[in-house]
Amino acid sequence: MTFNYDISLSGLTAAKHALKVTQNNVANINTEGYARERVSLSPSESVIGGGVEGQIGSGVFTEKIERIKDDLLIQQVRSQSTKVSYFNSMESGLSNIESITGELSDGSITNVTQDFFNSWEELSKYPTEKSYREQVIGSGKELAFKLNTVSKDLRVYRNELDKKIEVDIDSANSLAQQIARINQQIQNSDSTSPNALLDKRDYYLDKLSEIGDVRIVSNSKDPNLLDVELGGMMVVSGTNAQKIDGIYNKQEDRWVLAVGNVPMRLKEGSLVANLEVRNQYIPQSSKKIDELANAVITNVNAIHEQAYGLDGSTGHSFFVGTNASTIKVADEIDKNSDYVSVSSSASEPGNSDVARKLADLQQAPIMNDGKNPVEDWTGYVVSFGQKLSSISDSAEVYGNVLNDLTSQKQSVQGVDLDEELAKLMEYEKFFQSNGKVLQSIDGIFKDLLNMV
Amino acid sequence: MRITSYDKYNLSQNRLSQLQQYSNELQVQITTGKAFQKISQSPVQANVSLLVDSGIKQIDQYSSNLQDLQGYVQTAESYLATGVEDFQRGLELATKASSGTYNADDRKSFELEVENLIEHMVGLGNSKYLGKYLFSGQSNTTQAFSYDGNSVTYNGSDNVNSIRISSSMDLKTSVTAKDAFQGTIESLISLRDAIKTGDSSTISSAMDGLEKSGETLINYQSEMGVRMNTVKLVGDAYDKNKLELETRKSKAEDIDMSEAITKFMTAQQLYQGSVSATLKMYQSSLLNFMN
Repeated sequence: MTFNYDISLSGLTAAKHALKVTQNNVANINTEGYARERVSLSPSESVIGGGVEGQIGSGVFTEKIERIKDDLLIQQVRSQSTKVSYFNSMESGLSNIESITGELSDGSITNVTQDFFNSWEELSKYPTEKSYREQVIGSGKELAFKLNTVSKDLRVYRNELDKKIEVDIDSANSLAQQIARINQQIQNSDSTSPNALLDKRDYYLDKLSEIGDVRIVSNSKDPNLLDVELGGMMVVSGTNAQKIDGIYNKQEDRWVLAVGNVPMRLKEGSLVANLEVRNQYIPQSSKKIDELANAVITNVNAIHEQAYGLDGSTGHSFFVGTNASTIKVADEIDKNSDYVSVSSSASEPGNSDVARKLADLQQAPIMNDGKNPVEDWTGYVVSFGQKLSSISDSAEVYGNVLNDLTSQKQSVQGVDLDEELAKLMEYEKFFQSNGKVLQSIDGIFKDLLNMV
Repeated sequence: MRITSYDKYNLSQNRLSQLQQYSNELQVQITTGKAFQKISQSPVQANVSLLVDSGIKQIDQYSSNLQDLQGYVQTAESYLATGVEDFQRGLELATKASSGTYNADDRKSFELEVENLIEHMVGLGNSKYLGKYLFSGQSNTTQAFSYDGNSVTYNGSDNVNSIRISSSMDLKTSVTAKDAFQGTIESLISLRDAIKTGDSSTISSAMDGLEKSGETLINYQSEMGVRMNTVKLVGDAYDKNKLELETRKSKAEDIDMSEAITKFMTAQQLYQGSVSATLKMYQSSLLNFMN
């Protein structure tokens, strides 16, 4: 029968490991993407020998430091967050457009358009009054100014989105590079489970998932490495990252993303949302407002040019320009209200047939789809509002699902302070008791030595 | 389920911010009285409100048209009424002059009075409304009549401007002096010339002519009365219609204040409850028992 220090020493070492892991868990309590760790202890095998001695173990050893996580949940959270970030970006993009077009408030496009046409109706009652003529010019200017402003704001927002898309592409690229670099480090490390690197890689994958739909596969040559597909294109393959290019097609006025000239097919994520808003919704809204401006310009001018002004002159255009950004009340009209032409007879300034015809345009099917201008515009903004409303709803629903999933994921891998504190006390006792045992053994040795 | 520090802090933070967002929405509703600020918050209601709005705007325009039309027609009517009085006086004078009981001096004074009536009626034809000639038709910057003592000439236009009072109905603002006054003035001129001759049969036939043309004047006066009546009827209909539309608009966009306030109070209480529960939870930690 032999006593040794080794058994207690192994206990002390294991307790040290356990304490260090607890330390690390507490230190990472606020680290995003951190998975809590646990020491996994295992009894040491018995020393070789027969009899009772062989039945007693030889201490404890730390088998490994386990990373507690659920890969399936991580994957679910990731794909859900792709959805949520798509809807959130969509919502913010479309809300911006809605604010720019700003219906329902005073001075909306609907209001100024109606006011403009009604000012002709007013003039029809007092065709020779200067003040009523000035009123028509004023309303015309207000309409033109509103259309100019909305069209400009849409352009400004488009440019902002262009920058945002570039930033998204840059961050996707840098995330792909980071992941490739971590793959490289994992390959170089001699540990079988480099926990910190794995946490970091998971974190970068989470971030990349917010930008676009990510698919992850194990590298065929080294199963420890992950290959990443973004929008159907391989962007990380082992230790290499592929560059994502954003190509702006000026002719079609749209952005296309490609990896090595092959276009990506992103389905979800913030980048897709920004691309959709940029490629689809902004041009659509600009087009609608241009159509409105153009219909007003052409139809008002066509009637106005046939009519006679207060001085009997004719052929004056009321508006100049062709679309929402260029519409403007003609300078000569602005300078001289006599040129506002509402009479159908050169010699009868008190005639106002044409003013009524101009006011009638408000109800006339002058838009492409056979609707009147106000109807056409409000129809568009309402259907836009409906789209935005359903997207806001989806954002909320998916956001709640994501919260639930995140909470589930956290319940597996998150750190709980109280739990760690309890463990801390447990491991402290673990360490102390091994020390005590060591002391006793030491005492026994002393006693033995004293016998001699 | 295992509850982690993430749950304790982040989730309660999430819930608190959701509650705050909800209270904020309610607060905006209460302060504005409107159920939605943007179309996307309630597309269906917003659509109703936009449609009703454009209906109200249309009615407002027509109502304002009616008021302006009323101004025109009322003024024209009062001038025409004065014209009718002139005509009736002319008829009286003609009756007197045609009877043989008055001598040449009397007839001379009748003649002068008829001349006065002619000039007065020419003046009526040349009346202005808001600085423009009321009876010159669409040439409202041109004086309607010129009168040289023997004949009256109409210089205005034959067309009269109209004002629209509904999508399918126009009413003329006035009549031309040519239609309303010229015939009567010409008859008065013949009467004056007849009185000058002193021949009672000539006077009688001039009187017949005056009676006939005066009829036209009276017709125009009563037509103005009819127009004013139409204005009133249509105006009443618009007022009723507008009230209906405004009720619909209010149903579509206004909130039920008591409901909103109750909801707001509930939300506030929930918020306070959540805050104190969260604080309580944060307080209890093993840390408090370690030394």
